[in-house]
Parts: sequence; C-alpha cells; structure tokens
Amino acid sequence: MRRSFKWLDVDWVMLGSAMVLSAIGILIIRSAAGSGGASVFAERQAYWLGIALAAYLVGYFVDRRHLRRSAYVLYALVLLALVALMLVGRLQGGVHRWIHVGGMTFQPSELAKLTLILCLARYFHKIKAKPPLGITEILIPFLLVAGYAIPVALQPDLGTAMFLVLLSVPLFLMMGLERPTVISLTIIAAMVAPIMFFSLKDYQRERILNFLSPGRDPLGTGYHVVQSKIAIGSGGLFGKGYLQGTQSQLQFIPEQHTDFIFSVLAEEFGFAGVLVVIGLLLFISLWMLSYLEVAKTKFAVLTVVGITCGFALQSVINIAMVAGILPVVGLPLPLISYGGSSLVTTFLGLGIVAGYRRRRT
Amino acid sequence: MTRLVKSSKDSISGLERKIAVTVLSIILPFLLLLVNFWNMQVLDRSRYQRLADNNRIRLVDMPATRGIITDRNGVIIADSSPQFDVVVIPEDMSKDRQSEIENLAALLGREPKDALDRFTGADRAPYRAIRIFEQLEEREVAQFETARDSFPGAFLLTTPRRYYPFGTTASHLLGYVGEISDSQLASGDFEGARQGDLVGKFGLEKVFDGYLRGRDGGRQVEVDARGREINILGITEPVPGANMSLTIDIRLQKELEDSLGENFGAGVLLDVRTGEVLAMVSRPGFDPNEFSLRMSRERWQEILKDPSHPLQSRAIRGLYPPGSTFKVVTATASLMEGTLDAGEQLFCSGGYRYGRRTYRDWKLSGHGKVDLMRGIVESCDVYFYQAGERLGIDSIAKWALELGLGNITGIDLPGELAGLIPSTEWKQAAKGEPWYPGETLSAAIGQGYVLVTPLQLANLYATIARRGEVMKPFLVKRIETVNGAELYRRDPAVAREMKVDGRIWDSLIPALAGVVSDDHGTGRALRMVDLSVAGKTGTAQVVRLEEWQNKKETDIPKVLRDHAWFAAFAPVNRPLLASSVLVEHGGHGASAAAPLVARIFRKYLDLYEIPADGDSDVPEEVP
Repeated sequence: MRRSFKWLDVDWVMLGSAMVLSAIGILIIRSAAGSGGASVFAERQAYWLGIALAAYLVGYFVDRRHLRRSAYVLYALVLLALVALMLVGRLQGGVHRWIHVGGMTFQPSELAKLTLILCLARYFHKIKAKPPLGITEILIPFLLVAGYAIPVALQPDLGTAMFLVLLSVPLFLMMGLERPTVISLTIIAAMVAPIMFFSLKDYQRERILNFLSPGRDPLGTGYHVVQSKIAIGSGGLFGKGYLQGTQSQLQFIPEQHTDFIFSVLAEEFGFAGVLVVIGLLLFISLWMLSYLEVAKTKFAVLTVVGITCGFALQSVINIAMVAGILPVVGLPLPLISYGGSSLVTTFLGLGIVAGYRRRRT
Repeated sequence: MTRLVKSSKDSISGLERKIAVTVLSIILPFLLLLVNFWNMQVLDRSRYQRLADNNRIRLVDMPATRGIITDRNGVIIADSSPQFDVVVIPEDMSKDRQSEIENLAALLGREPKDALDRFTGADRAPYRAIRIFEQLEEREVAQFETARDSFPGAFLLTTPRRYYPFGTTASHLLGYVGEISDSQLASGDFEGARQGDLVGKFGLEKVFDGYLRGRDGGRQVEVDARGREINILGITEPVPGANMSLTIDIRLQKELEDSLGENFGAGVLLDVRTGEVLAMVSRPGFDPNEFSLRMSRERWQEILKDPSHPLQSRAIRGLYPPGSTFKVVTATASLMEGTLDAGEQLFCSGGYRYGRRTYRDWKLSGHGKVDLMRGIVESCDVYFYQAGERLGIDSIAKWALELGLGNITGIDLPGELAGLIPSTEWKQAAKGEPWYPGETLSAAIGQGYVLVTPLQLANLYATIARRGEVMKPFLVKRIETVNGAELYRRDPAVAREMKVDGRIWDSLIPALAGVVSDDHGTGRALRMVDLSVAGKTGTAQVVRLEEWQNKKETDIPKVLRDHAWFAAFAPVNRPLLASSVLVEHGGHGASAAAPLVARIFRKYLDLYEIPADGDSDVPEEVP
C-alpha cells in the first residue's frame, strides 16, 4: 500500500471554502459580541480555527482502516465524557456541557455528532444480514444512538439530543428499512413524544409552544425570535453595513454570537450576505457528497453520507430557527457560530471526508 | 472474499438512486431557505424596517447590590445603600442633547462637564441608559421630579452604592471600589462585568470581588414617544453579592487608629489562639467613600502624589528595621545553636570594640554583667553584639526565617511584602560584595539590612506566645450568600511548627515578661493590674548625619528621629493577644510605641472578658 502523503493532495477547494466561511464567522462574531470585550470572542475563535486546521489534517491523513477499527473506542471515550458531565450536572445542578482541559473548554456533545456517525458506519459495515433491515438488526444501532442522546438530553441539552437522533436517520435510510420496521418506529415515536414533552424543562416547553403558536408570548421567549426576524427583514438586499446593525448592536437578539449569529449576518450584510453563506454551505455539502464516487467500502459511503447530511442538516436547522421557521433548539451554525468544539469537530469531519480522495492515488 | 463483497459499497442496494435522493434532499431545503430570506429581506423589507425603526425597546441596567462587609460582631463596615442617579437614554432625548444636559446640570446645581464627557466619550448604544449624575440629594430628587417633563429621555434610577460608615477606619483592609478599567475589562478576570461597573480595586474589596460583586440584571422596557416606560418586556433580576464577615473588631480598629493620632505608622493586634486579625492599622489612611463615586482626575493625582503615601498599607508593606525587638531572634538562635547559655554572663561597658570600630550601647554607662534575662529586660546592645559575633550572620538568618521573618505571613490581602533577612549569600547576590563581620553585629540588634513589616513582627510575637507554632493571620472569616449559604469559611489552623527545642521558651518568655514587670525593664509602660504582658521595645535607626549623633531625641527634627517599635503578647501564661506598633519617627519605643500597645490591650480588656488570670499556671480545664 502506498503511503506518500503529499501536501498538494489536500482538497484545497473544500478547505478554502470552509476557511472563507470561518473567516466570515469571525468577522460577524466581532460585530455580534458587542462593545466592551468584543474582540475577545473573535480572537478566541481565531485560535480555535488554528486548532481546527490541525484537526482537518488529522482527519485527512488518518488511515482509513484505523479509523474504522477505532470507531467503537472513540464512541466509548466520548460516551464516558458525556456520562461524566451528566453526573456532574445531576450532582451540582445547572447546565454542564463543557469539559475543561488546561485553559480551554471543550463540549463533548459536539464531538459526539462525529463519533456517532463513525460508530454507526462501522456497525453497518460489518453487518451480516441483507438489507432492508428488520427490527433485530437495528436494535444495536438504536442502542448506540440512545447511548448518546440520553446523557445529552439529561445535561440538559434537548436540542442536541434530538439532533443526534436525527443524524442517524440518513444512515438507516441508506441501509434501507423494512416496511413493518418503519411503521412500528412511527408508532413508538408517536407514543414517546407526549411523554418527552411533559418531562421537558419549563423553558424548553415554552419554546415549543411558542413555536406552535407564534405571538403566544411575545414578551418572553417568542420576543427574541421576533427581534431576530426584525433584524433579518430590516437588513434588506445589501444590509445595514458591518457593525451597523441596529438590532444586533443593541443586543436585542439573544445568543447572537452563537446560535443566532445568522441574524446578525442577515441584518448587516443583507440578502447578499445570506446568499453567499448559504451558497457556500450548500456548495461544501455537495462537494462532500461527490466523494461517494471514490468511496470503496460501505464504511466509507456511510461516513461520507453521515457527515455530509449532518453538516447540511445542522446548517438548515440553525438558519430556519433564526428565521422563525423552526423552534429555538440551540444548535450552532457550522463554521460560523462562535464555539471551538463545533469548529474543530466540523473541520475534523471535513478532513475525514477529504481523506477518501487520497486513497485513489 | 465474501467478506470483501459484503462490506464493499456494492452491498448497498440501489445506491445510485439513494445518492440522487440525498443530493436533492440537501439542495431543496437550502433553496427553500433562500426563498424565505428573499421574501423577508426583499419583499417584506419595508415592514421589518418600520419595526426596526420604531423599536421602542430600551435597556435599563439593574445593578446588583454589592455584598456587605461586617466586623467580627456583625457591625456593618461596608454597606450598600440605595442612591438616586439620573440616567438618560440618548435616543429619547431632545435634538440638542448638549443643552439638555447643561440645563439639567444647572437645575441640579452640578457641573455639566463630567456628564457630557460620559455622554459623548464612549461608543454607547443609543438605546442603553447612561448614568450622568450620581447620588442625588433629596432636594435634587424633588427638583428633578417637578421639572421632569422638560427633560425627555432622562429619568431617575435607583442604584446601590458602596458606603463605608466608618470612613477612614480600616481603609487599607477594606480597600475601595471603583469603575472597572479597560485593562481590567479586557483581562477577563471580572466575569460578567461591563463597562461602567464598580469593581473592587484594592484591599479585600479587590481580593474577594468575585464573591462581593454579584451579577447585574436589567430590564427591557417599551417606552412611549416621550421616553416614558409603558411596559416591561423582560426582566433579569440582579443577583446580589455575598456578604463577608471579618475577624476585626471595629472598636479595636478604631482605638488603635486613634491612638496613633496624627503620627504615621502601623499597628497590628492578633488573636494568638486563632491567628485572627483583631485590628490592623496603617496611617495615614484614606476615605474609601471618595472612591465609590467617580473621582476626578485631579483628586486621584493628588492622592497618588501625596508624599505620605496614604494608599500604602504600611502594616503589610511598610519595611522597617526591627531594632531591639529582633533581639529575641538572636537569643533564639544563640540558644538553639548552643553558642550561648541562658545563664552565661557577658560584660557590658557601654560599648563593644570590634575590629577598628566601637559598637556603642544605647546606655553609655554600660549595663555591667548581663545574662540573657538582663540582656533582654534592659535591652543591652553589647550583650547581643557578642551573641551575634558568636553566631555569625547565617545562623541568625536561619533562625529568623524559622521564626517566620523574611517571608510573607500569607495573610489574605494582596501585596504583602516579605521583608529582608540578610545572609552572606544574599549580600553577594544583591550587592556583589562579601559580608563584613561587623555587619553581623548590627544585624544582631535588628539594625542594618534587616527589614520587617509590622504584621510580621506581631506574628513573630504570636509565634513566641504559642511556643513555636507559626500561625497564618487572616481577616476574612466567612462569606455567605444573602440566603445564608456558606461560600467560604476560614478555620484557624497552625500553619507550621518550628523545629525548635521547647525549653528555650522557658528562658525567653520570662525575659520578655521582665521587660514589662522588672523595674529596669524598658516596657514598664505596659504594667497593668489585671493583665500580665511580655514584650520588647525597639528603636529603628533612621540614617542621619553625624551632627545629630549625640543630641537628645526630642531636639532632632521629626523626620530624622528614629522609628519607635513595641511588640508584645499577653497574658504571659495563657496568651490571647499579640500586638506590634510602629510609630514612624516616634523616637524611643519605650516612650512612643509601648503606650499604644498598652492602650489597645486595655481596650480589649474593656470589651472582652479574659478567662482567668494569665499568671496562674493552673489550666482552665481542671475543675
């Protein structure tokens, strides 16, 4: 097996697009974090981008067989971190999503998105049964998904927990499910949903109710979405200019350097800015899918599909949430939102996908 | 080979079709989003624009109440009291903002300059309230309320403000608060702080700022066209800071400060049993209340340039030669190194010839035959010159360090200095010169290079009182939230046990007691009917020219007079208190410093009961 790593082989188109989006992100973070200590967040994000690039290279150069074989181990390591955080949360109260390493903090639930895909791909890769899959074959992947989703939900971070479940759907669909399986899953979901709803925290329930009937509580949670929509709409075609957004500079918008960063972009750069960013997100997604041509193994196909769909899905959900189309679930916008864990995980995923091109030479 | 086939991509049925579906299901939502944004940003733009323009939503800060600080008996020494401030929201003001502010200033009889600076200076958000006049008096509140309508966009805001009811008392311990500086803001050490917030800048206010500050809240309000609040949209309640109780007794603190009067200097009173600081004074002081308001640049410069350094916390940062109070260290070293026996008599003729120089005793006629007891009681210099000569500087340094000098005590205040205990090694490193044996003689009586802080000296005498147990003095006893949850608690603990033969204390402590009780003792000022005291006077030489050498202390100009020390503990046999007092340029320790220690001990006796008499050797526990 040839093992000549050529730097020029790195997928510059993908890396370049991702870098452009990250740079745009840092720019908007600087604007969104307001005055007084503003640049701190932008600076930190820039440091994280450096680490993210390293993560990209790790993903790119890692041997495919090693990646496949260590999928379960990686899954277990992240699971350990998630359970530890959940226990800390239970004992100390409050929300615990970050692990402190040295001077930095890391959010394992971000990494979980990637290790879950790898782990499911690994399982389906070795599965003996022929698709479409019946109930017995999907029991283990179900447990794998639940293993992550439950501790994350208990952190409590319901948005990410639901997203982890959603993330596994494309993989199941690629494998194909038997009709009875689909039906019974639907029934289970319908039964679990109300139970879930009533076990939610007050503020989570509020968000869902607000989403179902807008204007129900215009002064509370719904108020933020209204403000976000005003920001987006008033941005117009070309926006109000960098650092000039009245809605964002006045900090009417909640979490505007993390989850709501897109509304700052939409206000200050208008539809033009929206077009560029959505265009790039879509471009990166399709570019990643093109790697299916060179993917040889089942594991490769599932990894590429899983990572791509995760990337696209999270982008769409975040933007739709900011625009008031979906409820506020607390998912960051990949590459753009402030947050090192998300940035590093995204770049790692891109690197893993890009790594499949390397094997052709 | 079956394995390979099974796990190759071909085992996925209908792969081509599935990929196509995936591509479509990725493109479609993105396109839908674009359509949605086109609708919002281009087609519906004017509607949203109007909503943004008419955004009559304002942000008004609700500052958190800073935690109160109490003394050991619960007396409030740093309070947070509500004050009225005038704030404006620029967006709602009249067109000519400057004249509006000037008129407002004229109405209240205040200077508009500061207010205008604040208004124009920072890049403030137009919808955020800016504080322009602080601490309105009742009269001003009434004036403002009646004339309110002529000042659109201005309103009163209640703000908790730091207030120190005892003024300058304990100022160096409490420290002060002030508006957060840009560098502090950027440092990230002040979590949740925003521009304009008050944070601890000095003393305990600074060290424990994280506990005391609390978290500011705010409200989002909807206002009418004239800027009046018509609706509260959202509110984040401020979280008040935690309350802190100290070890000091404000009455003792005040007594010690009063006793220093106009003198500069420092004094410390420790609880020997726990290491708690009962009082710790540095003079001159400052009024921390001045800092709670925005201080003018001129006033700040004035304080900084004051030659008496009022911000200097002399008790922990003032470095002085310990003078004869250091003789206990030389004595400890002599006994432990075996260079001297407590009963051995040395002769003092009023001076000691060493090399080509005569080292003088403070008593020109000499003390005659002197043993350790007499050497300490009468503070015979010649006795200790000889003791020092036998020891050598490095042995003295070893025992000084063992006794806790030359190192910070570790009190919970910032900026404590370690003082200086010289050694041959130090001299070579710091001065690039060898140690001269004659310098050992000066060091043996606490002159020359030796430097200590008043706190170190008090702690040294507490260590002697505890027969070799070194305590870590502290000021903060407990911090708890307003709901009574304990966040911080300090329990007394012995920091270190000296490696020392316990029998030496049987020679040293009676000698120190003799300083007070003996008719020839230098500390006779501390003789009290109901309290036995052990202590030592000290006079720290101030470098001066030959011409003043033989003059009486009172004939010398004050700045050239020696510093006066007294350090003591009491009662002798069951010690409760340890104290040190330094009076800068006070002259002799016996006359200038000892009475102050007497006064603070007496005050303690007035306020607290001392269990049984200290002179009895019968332990309290025995029925």
